[in-house]
Parts: sequence; C-alpha cells; structure tokens
Amino acid sequence: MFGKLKKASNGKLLEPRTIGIPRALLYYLYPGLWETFLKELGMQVTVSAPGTRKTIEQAGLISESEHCLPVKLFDAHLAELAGLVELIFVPRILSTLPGHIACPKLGALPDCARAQCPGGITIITVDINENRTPLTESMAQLGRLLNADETVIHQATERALSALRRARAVPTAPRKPDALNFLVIGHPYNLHDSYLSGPILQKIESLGVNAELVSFADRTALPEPVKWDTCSIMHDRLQRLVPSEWDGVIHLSSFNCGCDSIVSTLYQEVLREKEIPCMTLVLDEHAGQAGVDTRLEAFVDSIKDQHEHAATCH
Amino acid sequence: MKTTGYLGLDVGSISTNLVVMNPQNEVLFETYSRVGGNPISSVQQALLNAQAALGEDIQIAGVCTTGSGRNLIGAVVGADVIKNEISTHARAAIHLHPDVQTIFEIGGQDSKVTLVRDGVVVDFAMNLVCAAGTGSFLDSQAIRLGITVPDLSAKAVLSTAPTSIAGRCTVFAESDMIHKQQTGHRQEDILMGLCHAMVRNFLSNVCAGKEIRAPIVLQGGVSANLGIRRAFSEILKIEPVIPKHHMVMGAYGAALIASKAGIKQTRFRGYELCVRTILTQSFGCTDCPNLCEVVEILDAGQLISRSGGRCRKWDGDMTPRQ
Repeated sequence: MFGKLKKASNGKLLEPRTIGIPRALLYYLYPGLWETFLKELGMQVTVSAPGTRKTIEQAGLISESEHCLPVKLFDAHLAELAGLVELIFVPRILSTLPGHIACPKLGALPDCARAQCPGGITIITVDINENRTPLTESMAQLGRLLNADETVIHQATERALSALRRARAVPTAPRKPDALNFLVIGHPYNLHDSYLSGPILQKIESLGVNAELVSFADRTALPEPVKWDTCSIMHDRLQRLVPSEWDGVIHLSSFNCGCDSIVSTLYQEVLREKEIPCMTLVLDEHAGQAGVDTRLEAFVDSIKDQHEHAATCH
Repeated sequence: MKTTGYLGLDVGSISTNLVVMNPQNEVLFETYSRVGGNPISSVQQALLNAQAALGEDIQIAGVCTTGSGRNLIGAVVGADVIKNEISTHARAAIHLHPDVQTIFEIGGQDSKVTLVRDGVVVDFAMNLVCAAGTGSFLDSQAIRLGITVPDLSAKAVLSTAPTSIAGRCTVFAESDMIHKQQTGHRQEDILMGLCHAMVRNFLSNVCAGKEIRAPIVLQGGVSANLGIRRAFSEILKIEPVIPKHHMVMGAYGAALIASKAGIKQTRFRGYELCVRTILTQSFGCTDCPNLCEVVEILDAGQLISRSGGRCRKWDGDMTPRQ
C-alpha cells in the first residue's frame, strides 16, 4: 500500500503507520468517517480518548486563554496524541455545507496545530470545503497524501461514508408520554462531547423531559440568513419546528463563541415568534454544575406553570 | 391544640433564611442570618431559634429547601420538596404582589431577573461568572472604605450629588473610588455612586435583552439597602416595590410550595437534629478519570446522604463503601 515511500520535510524517508485524530471540534460532525477511512488505508488509527476533567485542566494550562472552550479542548486532545503517534490528521475545514462557510478558527487549525506540536510529529491536512469540493474528493486527496492506491482509496471512501451514515442514523428514543419535549441545539462539539453535555442531558432527563438533539445529517439548510454552516442547519431546524410539538429549546453554547454570540439572537427571534420558550446555557471551564441545574429546574418549572395557566384559562 | 406549620429554608452562599408559616400563609417566624463557614450549623442555629420562638405549639407538616445549598440541607433536615431558588422567589413575589411583572432578586453572590406575565414566570436570567452586580460588590467596597454595609446604606441616601464610579469591575471600581476621594468628593456621594454602579451593572449584564415592566418587586438581601432602592428608582424611573418579607422571600416561597405540595407525612427529621453532630466528609471517586468528589453526610456517625459526581451514580446510594 505504501508502495512509494514518503519523504518528510527533512528529506528522510519515513513510513508512517500510526495516525491520530483529535476527538474535538468537527470530529463530532463526521462521526466514524475519518477513523474508518484511515483504517481502511491500512493505518493504525488512534482517536484521542473522550474528554474528562483532566482534558479540561490540560486545556486550561496549555491553550491560549482567549480561545473559545472547544478550541482549548482541541489543543488538549492534540497534546494527548502528540506522544502516541507519528502523524496527526487535522483537516482545514472551510465549509461543511454548500453555500456556507465554517467558523474561521477551523480553517486555521492545521497551522495552529503545527505551531503547537513538538518536533517529530507531522500534521497532515487536507482542505474540507464542501462549498466547492465534494467530501469524497477531500478524502481522495488525503489518501493520495498517504500514498494509497486509487482502488484502495475508492473502497475506503465507500466504507467510511457508510460508517458515517450509520453513526449519524442513531434513532431518537421514543418520546415518553405526558412529558415535556425539548429540542437541544448547539454545535456538534458541544452536544456530543460527553464531558460537556453529559451532565446537562442527564439533568434534563431527570426532570422528566424528552430531549432530542438537533441532527446535522439533514443538509438542506439555505445559506440565508445565516452564512455559518452548523448555525444555519440549526436556524433552519428551528424555523421548521411545529410549536404544538415542542415545549422548549435548550441552546448549549460555549464561552467566547463568536458565531453563537450573533446567531443566538436570531434563534431567539425565531422561537419568540413561535412562542416556544428557549434558554441558552453557556459551557465554560469554570462554571459549576449547580448554576446549570438551577437554571434547568427553573426553566422546566416555568414551562409547566405556563401550561397549567393556559389550561385553566381555557 | 397544635397549629400546623410549614417550614421554608433558603440556604444561599451568604445567608441562611428560615420561615415558618401557618396554613393561612401567614409568617409565624422569620430569620435572616449570615451562613459564616458552615451551612449546616447555621441551619441548626436557625431551627433552634425557630423552636425557641414558636415553642411546642407548632407542628411542622411540610418542609421545602431552596437556595444553592438546597440539596445538602434538604438531606440534613429531611425536606419534602427541594426547589430551585428562582421558582421559590417567584412564588413568594407573585403571592404577595399578584400583579408583579418583573422580579429583581439580588443576593450575596447571585443576582436574578425574573419576568412574570399574568402571574406566571415566562423568562429569567442569572448572573454568569461575574459577581459585579451582586451583594458581594457592595460588601467588598464597604470593607475598603472601612464601613459596614448598613452604614453604606444609611449614608448613601444622604447624597445630594452622586458621583459616577466605573463599576464594571470591582477591581477598577476601587481605583476609581480612590480617585474620587482624592479629588474631594464627599463620602456619601461616592457611596451613592457605588450603588448606581452596581445597579447599572445588574441592568446591563443580567437584564440585557429583557423587557422590564412595572410593577417591579425588589427582593433578596441587597433589597434592604436604601442606596440600592434609590438607585433603581433613579435609573429606571420606576419605584420598585419592596415586599413585606423582602429579606427571606426564597424561604417564604419555599414554605408556600411546601404547603401546596399535598404532603401526607412530612419527612422532617425534627428539631432534635439541631443538637446532634452532623458532619460532612468527601472522597474522590476513582472509577473514571473525572475523579469527582462525592460528599457524604453523617448524622451522629450514621450515613444519611451521599451525592456528587458528574455521572450522579452516587446520588442516594447508601451502601457501605469498601
């Protein structure tokens, strides 16, 4: 498979077999895709372990203090991989949806990662720009960078895409009857990082609420009025919500998120028009669970009281 | 013949508040006290005071705890209902002022705005990571000026020309305050300036984007401060309503909730718990890399509660640890 041996920048031949993927940022938008693809190419793939308290502490120590929380966590996941693998895959994500752009921080990640990693580790990158180039083409480029044969790339792409489809097609649990129904929105890396969202989702469930996470598999969002890809998918979903089917929306935002600071107002406007209550919870490394619990409990109380009030008025 | 009483306990970061209420929603006893270092002993003391004041004539028929210490104290006293402080404060305000549209609740480290329409909470917000719009802002400035908070309250209202203090951050407020002293401003004008700064902070941070409508009910520990009341009315051009039990509204709301909860048999563990030694201890769970701290409550050596940990698996688990 590695018929041609690859030359590193220092001119030495190397035959990398181990590659790492940081479990951070838009790893969560393409679940299963990259690790399946790289494994099918014959690489030994390590995805950094799911985040824990150590990850968040490490992030605070090594990352630039002005970054948003998800980028800080990316830095910690990168540091975890640095001692374990020869290559680390960090795509340059420019757009994940035709007609849209990604958060500009994602386009700078490979350069930031190179600056951060110690010598001896190669950051390997391809552009992901679904606005111009299909994802499969970006995958083929990655395969060629790793000197894989076209037939192997083709087969790996097929298998990776079906792994992605399987991972995205997680069925939503059936709704418990007589419970409130919440839609939980937020960037994939806020919703699916179990360390960040786990206690919040558990708390919502413990309050007897059916919580559905917004899906990013649906790719029909229009580029107006939100140009950012994942934000646009969420905005589009909110616009299509039927008020009688939803009792509330919870927005998991992260501290210092530039995109969210603009779009959360748009989300609120859409939901105000539909009269669906909405609450934004801001994830950050300093916030305790107590404040989040208080807000969630009060949000659920207020919705139940509003329902009761409406029932007695009619 | 014993009278039925409902007990509301609000245990916050700064104060422990207790209300005992009769079935007619009348407050029989209320107390506001500083937590100090230990919320459990402050609750024990508050309960002893209640017992001393009420004697044996009151039979506690229901208990509700609220505030940031609601779970801990709920386990200690045997709460029938554990309720978040936003809901209890709103319940009390709506009960006393059914036409309320906006509730400002400013406590020691928390400040909240709650919007009420037609007697129902429709929206709320809490301060995030900054305490600049809370009671601790006034506390720390008063300490710097070498006066007490009650003094600050009494002096601030004497001001005839409040000076402008940059109150965005407590650190910068201090340097601004020193500057005003050195340029010859009178102390009462500086103090009133501080009250304005705190209220502006609260309105621009916590109340951002919220539609503030009258009547406004102002409650929580800071509502006792005359300078703060004056600042609200000067900035908003609306006179805030100070409810009858403004210092203990969370506890009063909790008592109201307990009385409406349909409790058949209370889980209240009795005034005797005040004289027992109740201790907490914690251990680090090593079952996963999160290494959470789990807290246990021991009443006279007997394990009565266990909680904590992100996965919540320890909550209510009373099996002995190896």
